[in-house]
Amino acid sequence: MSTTAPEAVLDVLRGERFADRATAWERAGAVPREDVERLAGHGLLGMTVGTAHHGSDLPLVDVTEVHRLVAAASPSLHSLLVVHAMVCHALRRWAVRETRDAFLPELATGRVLAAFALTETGGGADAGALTTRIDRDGDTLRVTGVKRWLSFGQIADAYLVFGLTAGLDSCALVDAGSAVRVEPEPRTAGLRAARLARVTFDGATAPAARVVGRPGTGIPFVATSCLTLGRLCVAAGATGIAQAALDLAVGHAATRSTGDRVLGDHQLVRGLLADAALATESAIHYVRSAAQEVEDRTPTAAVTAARAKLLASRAASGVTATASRLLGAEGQTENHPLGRLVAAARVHEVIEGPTEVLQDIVATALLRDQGAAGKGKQR
Amino acid sequence: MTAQSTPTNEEIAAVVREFIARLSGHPDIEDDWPLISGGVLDSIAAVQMVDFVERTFHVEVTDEDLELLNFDSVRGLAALVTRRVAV
Repeated sequence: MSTTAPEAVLDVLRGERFADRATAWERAGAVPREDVERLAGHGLLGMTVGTAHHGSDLPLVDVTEVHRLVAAASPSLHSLLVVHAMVCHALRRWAVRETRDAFLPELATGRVLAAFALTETGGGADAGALTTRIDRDGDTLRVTGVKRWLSFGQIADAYLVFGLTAGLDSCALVDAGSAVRVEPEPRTAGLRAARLARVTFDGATAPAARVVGRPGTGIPFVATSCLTLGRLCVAAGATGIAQAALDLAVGHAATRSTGDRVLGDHQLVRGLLADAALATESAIHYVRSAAQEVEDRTPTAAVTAARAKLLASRAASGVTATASRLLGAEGQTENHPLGRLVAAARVHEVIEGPTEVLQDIVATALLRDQGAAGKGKQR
Repeated sequence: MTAQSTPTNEEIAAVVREFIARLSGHPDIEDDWPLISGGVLDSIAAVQMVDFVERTFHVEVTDEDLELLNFDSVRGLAALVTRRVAV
């Protein structure tokens, strides 16, 4: 399989066939593995993997452009791209060479699909709340615990699992297999086709070289750097959702007649459209500059990614709500594309950190920079 | 510090200390405070710290460096960077 230029990926995503397929997935409630593999053949899963490992190593600005287009068509497929990028990042940055060399080419070409196994029933990215155990027994890791809401967990071949090793937060890549039980989670509005799974690791084993990072750095370095990239990708997806809703709203306002005027002749409608366009465009610009920061690993990148996600997911919520009101009853009908965008916008305000968690991250950084952060604010 | 001269451990420690003091909101940070295990830095700040060290001193932190001791204090970080810039 060859590496693919971004233009080729963009051509596929802009094609009508992709939009039709995406609609079919969302209606059926599942992105089939064959379709994922076909898209992987166009380079969709290798964008953040180095060329030495059969990826295309695209600049993150280009990666976010692809995420924007994918999310507008299929928020569910987009969630695969997000978790896959996070797992690739974790391995590329923090895994030992043996694991990098063995897995990155497989992930880049879609022969192996990976899920990001952080969330548990009792918590998300909080080292103190982890209950999954990654025990080390000589040259073997043994993983025990239950992970929830894993995007594409139903069809994953490997799981990037976060847990505790001798009480310290840790991370390891574990293969699917007999000691890994996979059960579908209920379908979620907005991510209907994302193959969400509850995954139980019942003493699943992996070689010691599959540890990613070291005990004590699993959350602060591995998970947090993954979440930074994940937030950037989700932000990019949210701008795609906002743009798609804006296009629907403008198209409707330009053509829908009410009496002897089109909707777009009404001043209040024009105000809504202007605000929606600026919310969308400013989010797109912000995501682009955030992508550059994450690429450059500036010390503010983690906070900037949180800001981008906050801005873009709220833009998506606002613009889809505006479109929903403008399109009226037509937009509320079953299977109307707008319904999917509204639900997706809602999900985007939750995944990779809900709005309020991100506000907290942004405000913490602001106050810290003023030297005013309270000493009680320690997590 | 310039790109031409190799900074000393003391110079590195001073730069790291100043950054972490700002990052943590503790202006009186001490070199042996447990930054991560002691909760002085939250996880976002911990990643910011790694990025800062890499950019400022032109070193790359790899999986082999990832022992918690290398990152859990100003002293540990300064020692890690000192070893790396000397290579």
